Amino acid sequence: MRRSDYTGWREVYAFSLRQEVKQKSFKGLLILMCLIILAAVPVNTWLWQRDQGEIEKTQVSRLTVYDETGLNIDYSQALAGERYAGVEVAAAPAEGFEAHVQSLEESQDSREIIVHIRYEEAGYFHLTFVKAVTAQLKDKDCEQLAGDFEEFFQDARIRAVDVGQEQLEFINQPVETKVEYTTEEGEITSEEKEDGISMTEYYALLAGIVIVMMFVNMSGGQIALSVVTEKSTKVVEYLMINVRPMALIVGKILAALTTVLVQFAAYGVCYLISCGISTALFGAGQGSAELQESSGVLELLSGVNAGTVMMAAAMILVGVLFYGIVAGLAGASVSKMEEMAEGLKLYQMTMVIGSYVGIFLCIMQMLGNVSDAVVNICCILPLSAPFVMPANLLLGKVGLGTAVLSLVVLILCTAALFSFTAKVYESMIFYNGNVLKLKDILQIAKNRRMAPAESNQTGAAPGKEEEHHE
Amino acid sequence: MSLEVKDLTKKYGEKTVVDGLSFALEKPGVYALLGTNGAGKTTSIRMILGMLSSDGGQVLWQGKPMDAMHMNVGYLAEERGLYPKYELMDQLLYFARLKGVSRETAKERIAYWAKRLEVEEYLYPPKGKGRKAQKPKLADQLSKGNQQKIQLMAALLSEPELLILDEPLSGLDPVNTDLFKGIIREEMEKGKYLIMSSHQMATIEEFCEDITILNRGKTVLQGNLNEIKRSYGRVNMFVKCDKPFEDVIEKHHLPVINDTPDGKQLKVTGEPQALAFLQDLLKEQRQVVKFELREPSLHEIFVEKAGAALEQEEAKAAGAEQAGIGGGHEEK
Repeated sequence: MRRSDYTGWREVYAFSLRQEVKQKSFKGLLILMCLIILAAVPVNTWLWQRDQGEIEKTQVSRLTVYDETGLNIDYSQALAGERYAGVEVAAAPAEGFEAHVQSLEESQDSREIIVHIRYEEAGYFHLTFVKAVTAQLKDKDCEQLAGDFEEFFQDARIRAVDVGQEQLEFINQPVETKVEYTTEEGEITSEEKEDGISMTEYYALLAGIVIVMMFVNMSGGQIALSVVTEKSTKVVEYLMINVRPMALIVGKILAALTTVLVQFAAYGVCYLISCGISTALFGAGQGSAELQESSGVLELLSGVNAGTVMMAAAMILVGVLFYGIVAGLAGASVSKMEEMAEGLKLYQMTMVIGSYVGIFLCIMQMLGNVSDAVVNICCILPLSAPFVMPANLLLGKVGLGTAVLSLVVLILCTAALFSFTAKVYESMIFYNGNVLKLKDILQIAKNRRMAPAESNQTGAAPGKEEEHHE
Repeated sequence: MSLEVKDLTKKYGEKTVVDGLSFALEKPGVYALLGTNGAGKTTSIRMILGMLSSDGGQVLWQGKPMDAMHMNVGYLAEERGLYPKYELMDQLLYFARLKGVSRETAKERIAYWAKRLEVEEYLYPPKGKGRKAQKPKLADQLSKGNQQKIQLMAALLSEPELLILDEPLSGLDPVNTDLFKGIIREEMEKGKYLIMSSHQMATIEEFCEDITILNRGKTVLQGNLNEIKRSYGRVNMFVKCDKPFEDVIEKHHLPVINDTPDGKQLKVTGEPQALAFLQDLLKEQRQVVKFELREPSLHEIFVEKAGAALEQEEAKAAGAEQAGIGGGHEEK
């Protein structure tokens, strides 16, 4: 039976996975993150409910209104509700405003607010709220009162010109603007041409990039560390008589992928449990503004179907595989553990380029300064595709056709990178010396190609002869 | 014939690090691969094991091209390697699984070898004060010698038919050296094929019948050790007398190889010269305490062969350098 280049990957996978999962750092981080996520939703909801439930009574004891507009408004009902129970509201003659302000400044610990209303010639109403410098009133309290009073004034000034309640409600209806376009056939199309994306969409796209970055970073770092450990400790010497280099790297990549998936699955389950706990404790539909914001994201995903989800998931997996191979290659370029940071520059650089393109595109999308063509190109470029495409696809910013093309391109690039790695990995894994640069790695590949088919030249990097330990 | 290495060659760029190595293991036993540092032993072993591709030649096992992944080979690398932060038991089970040994069988064999190599306490930690088992040892908590034992266990777990030991005794104390030697002897008795590289010539003489000495990738001496020694003849004479005998040495024009309190080592052309020398000593009443005439040791042969090759290389390099300088002058 001929054992292929990949025979033994299962054993490598099982061992790598077991060792990773057994690590204290992995267990510690997983437990900590799960606990945080489990507590996050109920605590957040509790804090929100507490803020909503507690109606803090105002510290203001008196509100004096100086109205110079000439409108006939009854201010006695200006401050309604429990918050303002006990607040005395008085209308005063306008001519006494300056004197009243003077006396307010001189008083000690006054809890009175004076509001001065006038109509400016420029064509607007001006409301000035005055409190004593020495007053023990919180700014937040005063601002809330000013807001509530302004709201009252908005309605009251309309009522003052004999507008009925029904007419008032009609006038206060919100105004929505919708721009529609005509097609070449002269028909009006409902398709909206938006210049930019909403903040919710921006956050969703950014979150998508960050999640993929976490996937790539965690798995890539794990793979590189594992390869460097085996090289620097010379374990690879023993492993290589039992498994081929490609089986080693495949086993490691899959193990890294599994641990990352396990982590994210655990976080997802914890989030669902957290929501369940929150619902059980505080009832359904309760939550803070942030949670309501996330429900806004869920609304954005309402158009998502199984196909797009699978496509996005496949893209993330292939992307992690792509960057995992780069990490393995970078790890194999290092011979000593202390040189790992230097050796991983290649991997980190590619990842940073890919993710920064994603972040930059996201900002441009929000500002509305980017065309669909640029979004599509970023979705197809192999370095940025894993970061950009999944979230854009799920939010409907790119079509399924672009997504399929993007996935195909990434798969082809991953296969090419894998083939390249297969050529150079064996030589690199036995190389002992200074960190191999990209040009050295390319030279190794070139040497192999130049070698006759029967002669498997190892191709030590030019000027970087392998060290021999005899 | 079980293992045959034919014209094995390895080049790195212009440099040939192994140049046409050929040898064969015709019957079970230990074959020695000797050489100075950088001679090409480890590279040759890596090529035999298929870890490193060769630039020429072939390795046959039972008459067919050898592939270490197809057969049961044990390997103790010169550069000992264990995962520093993983449990030893996990590592051994992993190495056994890679060799296709089942978990249960591996556990049985680990138990046997742990006892044999006296490393049970590291693999089966004893119970602590609270009757709770202590934490299993990690590789970096072991001494170098004990790590070497774990490595040897890994090489033996699959009960290999071919065992390759690259410097198996380096860095071991005398007690553990004897332990390792005992295991090598056991493997020989089991009819296993072994290839061993070592700088300890006495150990090689103890185990090996056939040897190859490499120098800078080239084979400088090869064959049956006893025959090689016989070919040199009994030319090493060790003499110790109670009275000075330098004048007798001068009379016979014998070169002194070594002069120690335990006597002098002299080089003779053969038995007749040695006997003539002895007769003169007795005639001159120098009170001979020790007289020994024997073949050269492997150590001496190794030093002679490797040293001569080194001198040749240096002379060649110096000549080339000289020519280079001359050429430079001419150009100017």
